Amino acid sequence: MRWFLLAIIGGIVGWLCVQGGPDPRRWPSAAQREFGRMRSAAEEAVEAGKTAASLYEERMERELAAAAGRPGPV
Amino acid sequence: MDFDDLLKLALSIFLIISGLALAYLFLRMAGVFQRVSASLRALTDEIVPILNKAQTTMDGVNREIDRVDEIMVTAVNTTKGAEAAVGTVTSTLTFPIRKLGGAVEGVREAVRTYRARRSADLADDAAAAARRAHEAARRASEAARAAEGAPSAPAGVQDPTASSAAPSTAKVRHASPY
Repeated sequence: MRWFLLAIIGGIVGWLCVQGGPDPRRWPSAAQREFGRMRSAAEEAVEAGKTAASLYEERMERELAAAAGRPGPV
Repeated sequence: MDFDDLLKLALSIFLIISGLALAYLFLRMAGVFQRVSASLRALTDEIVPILNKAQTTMDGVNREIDRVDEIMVTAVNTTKGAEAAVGTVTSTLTFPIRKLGGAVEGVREAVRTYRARRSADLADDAAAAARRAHEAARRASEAARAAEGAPSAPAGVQDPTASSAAPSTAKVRHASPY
């Protein structure tokens, strides 16, 4: 467990070094910028996923309705 | 006996014969009418029960037709119910499959979009870093020229962002099947 925590902390510090440089004073701004990017990318990905899921379900419903011989969703 | 008396005798005989013929005719017609009346009575006595039986039969046929109609209505309702039940069962059975497939497709599309967006962000960062490096090199070369007093430009400094001067995209546009 200790090694696991050390690995996580080391990973976070390494990621901050990569994003903000070796100067720890730039890490908060770099982390804030990256988290903002991640949030916007995640929101965009979630919207795209919802759209894809709804379109997939509608297409499958149409195919099932056509197979059963009843009118499906328009 | 003169001719007048002879005519009267002939007329009397004719009238007597005519009366007898008419009497015979009426007698026969009475018999005929009697037989016709008897026949009609017998016919009536036979037809009325037959008509009653026919009426009873028709009533039974009508009742059976009503039952068949009810059976047909019940069969149609049963068929409709069975069809609705099959549709409901089909929808119920395929609902989890549809939802699961939609979730998988949504997750796949979300991951694809996220990775494309992050790749675009990394490309933007790389382009910005290259621009900064190029700017630093240019300033260094200008400082060196100013120090040496040579007007020629350095040969080793190339613009690393010439081919990708503009940031890749602010909004991710990747090939999506939707």
